[in-house]
Amino acid sequence: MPENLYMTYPFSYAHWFIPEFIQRMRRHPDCEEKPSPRQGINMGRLLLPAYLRKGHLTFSDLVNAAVVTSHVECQGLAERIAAEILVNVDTQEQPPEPSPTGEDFLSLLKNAAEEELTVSPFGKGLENELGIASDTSDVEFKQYTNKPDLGVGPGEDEIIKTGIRTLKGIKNKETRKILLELLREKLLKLGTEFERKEDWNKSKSLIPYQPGEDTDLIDEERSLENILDLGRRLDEIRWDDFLMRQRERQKRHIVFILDISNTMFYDLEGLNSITYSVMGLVPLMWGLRREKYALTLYESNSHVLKDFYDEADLFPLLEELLDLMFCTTTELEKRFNRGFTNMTWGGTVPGKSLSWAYDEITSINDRSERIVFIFSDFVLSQPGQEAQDSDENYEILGKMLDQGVRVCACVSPLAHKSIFQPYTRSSLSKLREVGIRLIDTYRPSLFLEEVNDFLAGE
Amino acid sequence: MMAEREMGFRKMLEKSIVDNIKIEHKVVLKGQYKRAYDLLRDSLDTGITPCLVGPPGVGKSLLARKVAEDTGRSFHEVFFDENVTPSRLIGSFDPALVVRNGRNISSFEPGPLIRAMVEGGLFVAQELNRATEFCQNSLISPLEERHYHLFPIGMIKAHPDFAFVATQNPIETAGTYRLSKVLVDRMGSWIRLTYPSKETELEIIKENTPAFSLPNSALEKIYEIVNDTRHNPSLEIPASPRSGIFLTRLVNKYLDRFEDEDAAIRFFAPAVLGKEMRVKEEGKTVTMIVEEIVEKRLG
Repeated sequence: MPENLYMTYPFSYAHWFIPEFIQRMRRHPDCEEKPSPRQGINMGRLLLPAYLRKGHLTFSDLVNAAVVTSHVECQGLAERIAAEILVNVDTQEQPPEPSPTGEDFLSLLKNAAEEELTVSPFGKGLENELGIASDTSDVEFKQYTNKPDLGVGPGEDEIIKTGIRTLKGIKNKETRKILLELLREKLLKLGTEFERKEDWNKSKSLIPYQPGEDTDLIDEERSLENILDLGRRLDEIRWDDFLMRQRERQKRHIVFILDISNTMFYDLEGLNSITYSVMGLVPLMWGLRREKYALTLYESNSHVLKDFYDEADLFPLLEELLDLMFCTTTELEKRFNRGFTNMTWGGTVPGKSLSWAYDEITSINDRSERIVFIFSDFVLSQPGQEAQDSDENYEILGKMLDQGVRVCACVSPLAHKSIFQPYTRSSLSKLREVGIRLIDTYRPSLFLEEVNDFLAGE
Repeated sequence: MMAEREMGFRKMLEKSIVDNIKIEHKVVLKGQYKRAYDLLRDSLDTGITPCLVGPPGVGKSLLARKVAEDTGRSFHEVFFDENVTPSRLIGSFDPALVVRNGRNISSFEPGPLIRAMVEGGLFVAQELNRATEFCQNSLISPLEERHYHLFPIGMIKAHPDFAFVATQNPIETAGTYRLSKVLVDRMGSWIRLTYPSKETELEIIKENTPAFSLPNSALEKIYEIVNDTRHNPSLEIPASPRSGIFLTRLVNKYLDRFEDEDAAIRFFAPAVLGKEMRVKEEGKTVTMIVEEIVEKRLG
């Protein structure tokens, strides 16, 4: 910023400028990283050398101090607000002063009601009270009162399913938002539990201790056994006689494929295949978020949401997946076809997605563990349909397995229902023949446990 | 024979040990670099922890090294990723020595952070946003309280000259950890570096090319090609100043093998520039884009 020699300020000006800047930044709705008191202290510290060099502060000194001490994402805003303060502009609306009269109080209430709500289900005593957010679902949730086993586990699965059923019937936007938030948190909690088990599985095998490694990783019992087996005397013990748990060196590369064809949206007992798939997929993606992952959806067409190199944020992706549970096929079609609907939507043609997954995963060096998860009801064929297309799919899967890619079919429980069985029986048995692991998504926590075993190679 | 070779290697290794690596060429402190350098020094002088933010190859590490050199501090750095643990930074006890001597100073192998704290050096946390939360948390007390509690030795107080600089890449890659709020709050200044101006970049390239003898026209062409990658909508990550330096070095050294400078640039550009660039447009490759740009510039 060019210097303006006419705009100089004494150091005492900083005493007014800094708190004013901090206050305006905190009030601003676009400011994501609200400044802390520490930022104010840092601004003062940073202005000192400039003042000592020149004997006064300039416009750019003050703006620079405000910008540089603000988080990178807020630096544009910080520059604008600092300049506004210095040229005496206040574009921010002042918050209304509280007043004892009822009118002002009501306007405050109205403002509060319009504010964005953030709800955490982890408040003390609210752990299993998904229904507390919804006055309409009291009856449904009462059946779970005082059940001791409703922590993470099969009990939690029932709560999640009931939450989804309840959500489908709720029209009120605010209630939906709160319930959806609670549901997401519950699914992420399952994902965190899955991640913890994954970490434990990764650290099962032991290697000799390396200098510079964390001594907490040493398995004391096994190290002692090893030292005794080696017959070492006290002064002969070496650092590599100690055994430590191993760290994962390379990230896994994982492709998630989700079927969004029409059959996935058939409701049976209030839940459809897409719901079962999303209940498993969301915690799984959360638990594996530290790995490299790609995500694609398919019906007659493929819709790639993220490839390995895409820098998409995980949260919007999870939101999009959660939304699928409450969508109709028409809504979904409009979303992906930019508002249009046509006759080609809704078939089950996984070929393109599988080919894409094949290209994507085989482009990765085989030193990294490569895994493909397919979430579907596996209604791949219809009576009278040519078998050629579906055979190609199994060929692609076979080629993946030949190249060392591990494939897991996450099967919706609806695939085993009598209405779908005529169509799914052959596809599921072919998957087994090819050598693909099949895991049922009926209960999210059990599904995740089985995925834990699958990843551990058991 | 093998034993002799091994002995020879050990002697050479001993000779190569130096206290600190010195910067061997002039650092161009102009434009954004002058501003960033001043801010870095002001931040360190006033006890603020700075974080340099910029794309790869714009000179973040060099700037930190320059500050360490100019202020007479020893230089320590760690490149963070998910495998860097707190014990890599802090140090760890040698379990064999612990068995013999107990957990005390004699069995402790210090890590770079503790070394910098004790010696009063400059510690550079490279790519801090790739550090795990576990690792980020271990930095809080050295940054804020300027001490570290090393169990069971006790509290290690930092030397008054100890300074901490973080660097991070603005582009978030999948699997990258976000800095925790607590750590973000303790970073007192966020100094942005971007691609330098033409004048500065040309000077940087000249300074970093040994025995520079290229005509200005060749240097201009190299700069224009590198700069074009930064405005190309098909590219997600363009070429950095470092790529410009490498390309210039090759053209400068092997110009006599080619008919003219254009032929040399045309030959080396795809291999050098392609190494770090990343394409976002489907159906295009880095080589295709570099060739397009080179064709446009050289005709």
